[in-house]
Amino acid sequence: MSDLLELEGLHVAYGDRLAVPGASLTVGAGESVGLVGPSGSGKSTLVAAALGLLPGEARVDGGTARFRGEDLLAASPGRLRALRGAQIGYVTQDAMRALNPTMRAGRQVAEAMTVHGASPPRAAERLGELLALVGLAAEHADAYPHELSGGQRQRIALAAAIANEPDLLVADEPTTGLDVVVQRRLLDLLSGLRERMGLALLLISHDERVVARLCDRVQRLGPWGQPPSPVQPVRPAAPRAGRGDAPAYENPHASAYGGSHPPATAAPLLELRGVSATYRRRAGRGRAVPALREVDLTLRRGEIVGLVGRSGAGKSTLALLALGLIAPSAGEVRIEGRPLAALGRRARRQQRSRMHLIFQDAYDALPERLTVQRVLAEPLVIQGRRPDREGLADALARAGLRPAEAFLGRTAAELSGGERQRLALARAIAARPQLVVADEPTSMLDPDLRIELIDGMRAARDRDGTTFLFITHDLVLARRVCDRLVVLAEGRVVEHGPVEQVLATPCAPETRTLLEAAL
Amino acid sequence: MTRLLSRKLTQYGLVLALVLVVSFALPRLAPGDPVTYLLGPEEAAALSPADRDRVAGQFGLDAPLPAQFVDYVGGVLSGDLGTSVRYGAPVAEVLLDRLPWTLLLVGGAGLLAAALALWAAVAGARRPGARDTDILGGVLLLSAIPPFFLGMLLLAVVSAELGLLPAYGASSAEGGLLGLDVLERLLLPLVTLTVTTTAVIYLIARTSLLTELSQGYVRFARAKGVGERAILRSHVLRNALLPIVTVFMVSFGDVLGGAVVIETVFAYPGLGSAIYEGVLARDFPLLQGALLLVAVAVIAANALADALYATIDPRVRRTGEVPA
Repeated sequence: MSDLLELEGLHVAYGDRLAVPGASLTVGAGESVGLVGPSGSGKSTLVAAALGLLPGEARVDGGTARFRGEDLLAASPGRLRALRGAQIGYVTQDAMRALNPTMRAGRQVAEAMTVHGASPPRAAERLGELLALVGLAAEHADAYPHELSGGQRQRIALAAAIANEPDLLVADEPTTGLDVVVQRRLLDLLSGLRERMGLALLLISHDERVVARLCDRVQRLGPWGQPPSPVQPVRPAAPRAGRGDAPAYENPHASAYGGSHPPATAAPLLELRGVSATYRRRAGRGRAVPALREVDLTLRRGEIVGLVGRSGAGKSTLALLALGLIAPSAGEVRIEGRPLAALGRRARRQQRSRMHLIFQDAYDALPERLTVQRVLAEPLVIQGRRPDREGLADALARAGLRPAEAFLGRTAAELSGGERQRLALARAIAARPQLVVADEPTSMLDPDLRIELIDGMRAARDRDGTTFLFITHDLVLARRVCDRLVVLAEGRVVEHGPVEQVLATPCAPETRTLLEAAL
Repeated sequence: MTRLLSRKLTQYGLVLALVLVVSFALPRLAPGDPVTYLLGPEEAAALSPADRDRVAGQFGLDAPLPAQFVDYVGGVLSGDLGTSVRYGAPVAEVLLDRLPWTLLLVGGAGLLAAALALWAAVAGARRPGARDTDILGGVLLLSAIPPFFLGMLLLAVVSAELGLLPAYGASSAEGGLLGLDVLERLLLPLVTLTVTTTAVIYLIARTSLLTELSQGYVRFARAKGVGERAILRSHVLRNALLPIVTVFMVSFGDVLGGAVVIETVFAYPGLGSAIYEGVLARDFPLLQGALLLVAVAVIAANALADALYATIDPRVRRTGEVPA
């Protein structure tokens, strides 16, 4: 098999900091290769370097990059542009934001064809085929990105990347942030496209399960800053239906976390009684869309309750309600037996300082220019406590950011997505709140780190008696950490019970769908 | 949308009401009065209170303040702004006479400044690093010159020393906004006002462009093989425009303020110099009329900005709120 893409000993540096210490990678024609490595290991940087897409401050220090034997590092910017999008399709990381918010989706797909010489009518004609190929309807072409769901946006980006029938498709974390069901469909789509178009696939992911599903071979990058590690020996192709083989990851159908659960008699901390919430589509008027319908839920002290469901099921709405950040349109939220709505301004503020939200988007949730130390200290300052350096470092270590001392002085802007998520948890741990609502806190992490983060959560529960509402679509994690599991579908609680019981004998069809979609 | 519109209209109405009060009160809070100006300090002091009232009565300024205010508001509603003390002519007439010149100056300078700022920002964004910082430094340096100083410098060098352009006025002969002499006289004040306006818009445009250039969609456009020029033109500019439009419209008030100084320096017969003369003469009717006109213009600019947001960004169309 001739090699399509060959990267050898590629060295990339940001200023004087090494980002990729000499990595090698080959992708043969028609082959499917997974590139995995922990967050911050330079996976995206490696590919960006080869395609001439490094940001200004980064540069390639050594090594070679060839596409069909052509030296990419010596190629002119114009030549690279001609390759990108034509022979090499590239779906960049964070495809949720890969689309221009002020341009209709269809035009963004058509653009990929017109810049490579297709006439506008020809591009418009092919647009319909492409949308059908990625499983979208023709009407989606007229939508603006904000009118599309995450999965749909991902498909639009994919349509643009394959528009010119490339020989190689590079997909960088194509499923991050998507719920399991959508994730599964997208992976099926990718493998279908591969077969139909005969293209080679380079799949960058921190999630070994994703790679195992789709790839013939896996190449690993070592953790950031380590000396150049030789590329791992090629692993035999995983069987289609095979589960990922990351050691810490278990099959959701297999053994569960055997630790102690808090007694069911513990005092209730948070109670939702017949809570409903509605949104209005347009400011002021428009149809009211129900997001939650008559939800009953009790969180006892020291309990970790998992909340699972597809995107749009009402998980985030429930989180906001639990924290009193939005008011229910019907029903009542009680904290320590008192209705949240009856608290005065002061009491409510005090209550809020004892609750903590870990946001889904670790990029938006952290101020870029504050140091890690200040980010961690902020909730303590709000509570009127004095942050001490050791305590903050300890929280960092518990969330898996080590050596903690080295991180304290950095700014959030210098952290990778996974590191930001760990910082977000560290902030919650440092604040020692009563209640933590964690909304997809591990979506950007690789499996080992997920486990570590989850264990950090459990340690915080054991030490401080913190109650967790853990929102996730990762059933493996839910099984490992949660005492109870609540399944939401279309704003209703469809199943509810001890985690082993729900996963072992799922009753609701939705639970079964989620289980089947789990990789 | 209708609810949004009515909310906006209510907001504008409230601001207008406030403007009416302020434009009435502000001139009257300053020390001095029109009678002293008209007759000179000695004669005014010698006047009996009854005579004083008679002089002030010609301009409707003898009534108690509440009655004057009612008169003013009633006049505004019926289109009558009173009689100017300084010119002895209806305020509306004086203002309408001045308006075209200011529109020419402020409009020209605003557009020119926006174009320059955008051009400089794009030129810098296209080549970050040395060229960008050069432009940034240059613009900051220029904007650090106070407008009156720049105006006087231009007058001294271009008009007095070199004799290239006329030093004052707006046109040589009566009538006509068109003609070479109008342009000749417009040039120096226009340059001065443009220079002082460019910096604010440029700084925002630069930041906005740099922010947008680091967005994911730019990276993806590059991955599609789109060239840098096309990325700027068809992707970045439109997204970067939102804050630029905001600042442009908000700075409209500042530009008008700058026009007061510059029109005075160049003896340019616009609204700005009318305000300046009105202040000297304690010409209450002229001042309140001019302030009202300026305020309405600024409100209109902001309304225009609101309308433009929706055209620029489809996300605004749906929620009526500017996304973060």
